[in-house]
Amino acid sequence: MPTFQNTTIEIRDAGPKMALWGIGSTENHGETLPPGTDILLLEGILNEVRRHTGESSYIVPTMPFGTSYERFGTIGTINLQYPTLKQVIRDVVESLYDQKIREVAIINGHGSIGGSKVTCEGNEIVKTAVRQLNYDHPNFQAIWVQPFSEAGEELCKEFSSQQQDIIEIAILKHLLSTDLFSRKEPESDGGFISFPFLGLDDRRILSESSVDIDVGRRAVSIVGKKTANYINETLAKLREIKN
Amino acid sequence: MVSYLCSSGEIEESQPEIAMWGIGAVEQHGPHLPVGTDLIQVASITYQVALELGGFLIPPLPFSMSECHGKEAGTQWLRPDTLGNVVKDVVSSLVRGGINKIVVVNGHGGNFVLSSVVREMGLKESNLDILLLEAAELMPSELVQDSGIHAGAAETSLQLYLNKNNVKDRIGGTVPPVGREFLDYLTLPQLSPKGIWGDPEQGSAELGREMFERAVKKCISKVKRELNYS
Repeated sequence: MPTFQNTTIEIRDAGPKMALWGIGSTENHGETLPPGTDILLLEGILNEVRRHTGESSYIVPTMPFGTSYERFGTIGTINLQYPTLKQVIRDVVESLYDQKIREVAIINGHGSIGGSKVTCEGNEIVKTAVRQLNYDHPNFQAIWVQPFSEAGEELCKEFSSQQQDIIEIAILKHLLSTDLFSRKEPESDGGFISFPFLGLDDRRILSESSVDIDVGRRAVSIVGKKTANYINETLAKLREIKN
Repeated sequence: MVSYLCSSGEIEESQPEIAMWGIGAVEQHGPHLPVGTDLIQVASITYQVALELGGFLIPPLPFSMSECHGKEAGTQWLRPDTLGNVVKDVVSSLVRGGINKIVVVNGHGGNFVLSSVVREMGLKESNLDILLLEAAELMPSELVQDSGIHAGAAETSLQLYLNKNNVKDRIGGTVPPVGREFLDYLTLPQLSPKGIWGDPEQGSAELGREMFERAVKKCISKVKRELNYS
């Protein structure tokens, strides 16, 4: 599955018809979690999603900044004003369109268990941007999804409410225990902005947390699969409607 | 050094005075280099500088003004105004969060809007010290002789040093028989169908290591001098 670690020839030969793109955020997450929490979670989820969306999907590098008005002014928070984020979405997706990629699934942050599937939680402008892209390019299809919202039902069946409360931390802890973002031996083939070429190998994050890593492992697998199912089914439905 | 991957508590405790930020690009880089070459290079430089100098490292911006590479596969771009607005918003966020010395390292030569944006911000915000450094200018030009500006000896060398598993077989390069200003009129693939301007075969990992180390040193020296930071 091509990423930014592939050459233009490799990407061209893979002939991707669909792109997956994560839009995260860099924002103060309280005392113990990093501002890059959402980036890490998103990329971990993306790594699961791509197992189920087909080999030729192109993974666009994660956008690390979003709108964070409520935490603007706190250290570690980067806030893009909503028109800026809308412009970024428009430009990047139109550049994908130029390359004849005709479907893009935007994975907007992570959402929340029990959250809406109709409105965006965080980066609210993603909904507007996607809608406008679909109006402007009728032979193109953009969709958006928020993984925890999509996987909410199954997460509620699988985990107790106490476990649900710490699911973000559990996933984070699980991801950091793997080689997914390792510089030396990446488990993935690269293509994530979180670690590989940065050499950041800081596992101090959450090292003292007693959160169960296995909860994180199971959760991210469920979330990835449900998100991928949503993407595959929605795009298939849209193709059917348009034909 | 603290980064966006440290806990917010650690960042607050360290009270960073300076922020480091890399602007990358995702664009065709010939048949041998990954499309994320500029992103990888600038992220590596800013990381190393932050490690040696201290300060707060924020995530690199993956995309920028890469429309100069046309519709080649793997090329994503931002329009000039979009990039300008991203820079303004990021810098404003850092200042509001209490950091007013900011180093922006530009990893893509086509981001001409940046000098205007940074200049304007520096003039408008009285308590902001902002320094824009060009990754290409940090590189010691005397080490490569291929008149290259894209996917030539310099970038190939850096990728062989930083990211060798993702460098593919090299081919002979091209230097189009026109001046660089022609990139204002045509895309690079229109001027060079291979997508290269330079000679990748002159590149080596050893050269890449030397270029990288000297670029980091030069960046640190400029930051200390221009921003009066130690």
